Amino acid sequence: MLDTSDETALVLAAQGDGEAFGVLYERYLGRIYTYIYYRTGNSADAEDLTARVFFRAMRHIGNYRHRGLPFSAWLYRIAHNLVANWHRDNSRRKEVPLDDTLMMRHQGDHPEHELVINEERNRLLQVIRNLPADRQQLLILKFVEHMSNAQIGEIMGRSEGAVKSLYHRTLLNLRLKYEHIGGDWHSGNNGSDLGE
Amino acid sequence: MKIIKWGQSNEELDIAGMEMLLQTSLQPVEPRPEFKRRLHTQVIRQFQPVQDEVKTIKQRRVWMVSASLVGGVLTIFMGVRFVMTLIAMIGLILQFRKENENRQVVALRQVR
Repeated sequence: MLDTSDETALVLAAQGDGEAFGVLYERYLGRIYTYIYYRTGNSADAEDLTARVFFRAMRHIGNYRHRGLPFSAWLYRIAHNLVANWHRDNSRRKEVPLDDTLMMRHQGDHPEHELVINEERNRLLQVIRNLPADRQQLLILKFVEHMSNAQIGEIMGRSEGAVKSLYHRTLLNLRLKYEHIGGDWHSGNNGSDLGE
Repeated sequence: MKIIKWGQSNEELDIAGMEMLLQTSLQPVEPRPEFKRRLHTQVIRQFQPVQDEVKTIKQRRVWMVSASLVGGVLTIFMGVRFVMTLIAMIGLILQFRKENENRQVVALRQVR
């Protein structure tokens, strides 16, 4: 069952096969969670919204129509809408800092070095989270999911060229904002170059 | 490791630098195993209503088709009855007229 294709699992799940939906769940939970985590910035809301995404998918899977788009595109759209609602509902709430879980461990590094790296990373993530929703989505799909412009276009409902153009503008805009808050983008690979 | 090609514009370098920074900063995040397990259980346990929902949709369709058929038959029946009543009424009117004419003829004969 685990090596079933998405299409087969979808058909079975739409017919009421819980196990097939379980396969889709296992396959996409991590990706949807990561996406929501970076969009919300904390694990509690990420867990809550991830659960809602899968419950909504479960309720509507019977009505899912395959229109050439991958199943993940459908899930990401649900996630995107729920995160947009979440941001709207919490617009007056103070910004939530990113969890400690995002602090990546670098074995063999000095603690001060790790601290600097994490500071830089959190600063960058803060800038990303202040970008417009579509740009955040683009960066997450590009760098976390390693999707191509064409795949991102399918999810975002844009052409490949439009995604490429948006990506270019986003990176330049991100660099400006990152520099504005004192970030050192020249360090490039901040996981290994910082402090050297 | 950053490779800077000769002749690359500042903009290209900016983008390359940001790409490298993003690659190291944006990493997949694993959900807590406990959350993963709990949600899996909830999703699988509550998956049954979807089947019911699908069944309900099918049942609703069957009901709608049946209701449409019954409605259609009733409409046709009412139409036929209406036409029959109309014909009967026309017949009665014609008969009434004929009787009147006959009465007038009889009355005239009696007068003569």
